[in-house]
Amino acid sequence: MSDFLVYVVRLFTRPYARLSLLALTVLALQTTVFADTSLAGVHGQVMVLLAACCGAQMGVERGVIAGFVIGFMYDLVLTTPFGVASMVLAIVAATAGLSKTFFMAPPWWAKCLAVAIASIVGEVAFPLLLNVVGVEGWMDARVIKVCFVVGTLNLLLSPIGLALASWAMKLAPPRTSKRSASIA
Amino acid sequence: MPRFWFSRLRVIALLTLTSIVLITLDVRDSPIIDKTRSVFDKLFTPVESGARTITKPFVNAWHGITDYAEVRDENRRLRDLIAKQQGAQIAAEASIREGQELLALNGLPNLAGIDSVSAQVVGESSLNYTQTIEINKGSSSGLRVGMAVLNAAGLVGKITEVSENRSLVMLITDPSYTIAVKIVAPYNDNGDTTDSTTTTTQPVVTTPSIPGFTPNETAYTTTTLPGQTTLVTIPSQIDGIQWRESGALEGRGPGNDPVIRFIEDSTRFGQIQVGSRVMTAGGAFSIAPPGIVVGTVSRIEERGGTLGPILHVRLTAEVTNLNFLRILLYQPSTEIPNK
Repeated sequence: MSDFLVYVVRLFTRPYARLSLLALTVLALQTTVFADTSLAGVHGQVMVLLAACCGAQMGVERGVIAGFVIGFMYDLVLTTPFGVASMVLAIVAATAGLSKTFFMAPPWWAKCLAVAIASIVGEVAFPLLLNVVGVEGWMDARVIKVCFVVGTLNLLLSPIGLALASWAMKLAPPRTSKRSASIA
Repeated sequence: MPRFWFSRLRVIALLTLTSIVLITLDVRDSPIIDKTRSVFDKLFTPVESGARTITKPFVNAWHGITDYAEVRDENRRLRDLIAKQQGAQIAAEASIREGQELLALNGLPNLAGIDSVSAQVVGESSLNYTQTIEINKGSSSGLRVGMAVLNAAGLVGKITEVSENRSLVMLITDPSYTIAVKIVAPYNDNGDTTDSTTTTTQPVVTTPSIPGFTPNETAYTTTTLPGQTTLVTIPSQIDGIQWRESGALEGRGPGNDPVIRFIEDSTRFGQIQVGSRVMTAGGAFSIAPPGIVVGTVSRIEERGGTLGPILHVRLTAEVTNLNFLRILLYQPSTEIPNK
């Protein structure tokens, strides 16, 4: 039993295991509280927020993988063609990660802004990609309203999202072997 | 070019390729994708139920704040509506019963002969680009993909995914939803009866265009059982006979009325007016049985050439506020998997 607990604790020292756990929690919130409430007929998109925050914290390379993992989990509960959310959230994370290209160490407000812009990009990319795969009819004037609401909400929620993404994606401390520890 | 640029490109290219493969697999109806979704659904349902229970007070508080004024107005409006409809209900029930008996007598399909299952809405789609809801009945209650879903007011949508105890319903307003419908002109097209409170004038009976029939006099005799005959009298209001046209109804997303396209180009088209009733047409390849109420024509958009007009439809079912639903246990032939 104690071995199992040690294994579980060790598992969550890995960033992608923590990210999966966090994404599962956020997915539960997305399919319940954010699906049942809406602002001006638009549902908040916390999965998009999480992907954007991972991108803003980790940069393009690691962010795009995190975005893909989050999108893959979102794909599992959506009725849209499988793979669309994975691709869109990877794009969202990559867009947010570009903020690291413009700043060596982006200030907090630049990260928040990057999250909002990336969320808007995601809300445009969704209907666009759906159109490409044959699910037509979503690319209309409503997209502007969706972008505005989701962008604003994600801008407001971005400080929490960035803190969670930072916790999930931080690297584990380097392991020290018994020998090196005894030398020290 | 810096080295990290190649690494970045490699990651993006690999993930794009993976996404394309996944989309292709799903579009080609790969069982791997369906199985993965089904397994995840089983694992995720308890997590979702727990989250729903925890967040319910917050959701209720949100609805209490944002919907209070609207609910109060709606409540007042509904009370008025109930008072108006109580009288009409008795007459309508009698007419429906007569209609069903007549259809059964002639061996025609009707809704009364199809079993149904009741279900409750438990969730909505979380994405802004789908129009789906989740109900609390699944394959264990006999539900299958493609079955028509309605509420007390009319057609609501169709089932698109079924698990053991849950199903997803695509709403009629989803742009991917299409169904064959018929448009039936209002009973008194000439405006002879307009309001229940005004005096009703009977339409003038002219010579019927059907040779051999005289209104109220010609009786059509059918034999149902040996030694038992039924008389069907042709009504006197032969001029008020309900013309029908057929077309394809398509959803147009939330907040937009669905439209009917591909109206058969007919000289009788002038008969269709704002207020004409829209019902499912049925047929061997239709996704719903005939005779389900869909809505009324709210606007007619004329188009030039041979394109035919577009009819905008106001749905009778309020799809933004659904609770209890009825699922007809009628699986269209197009949805039955090939053996």
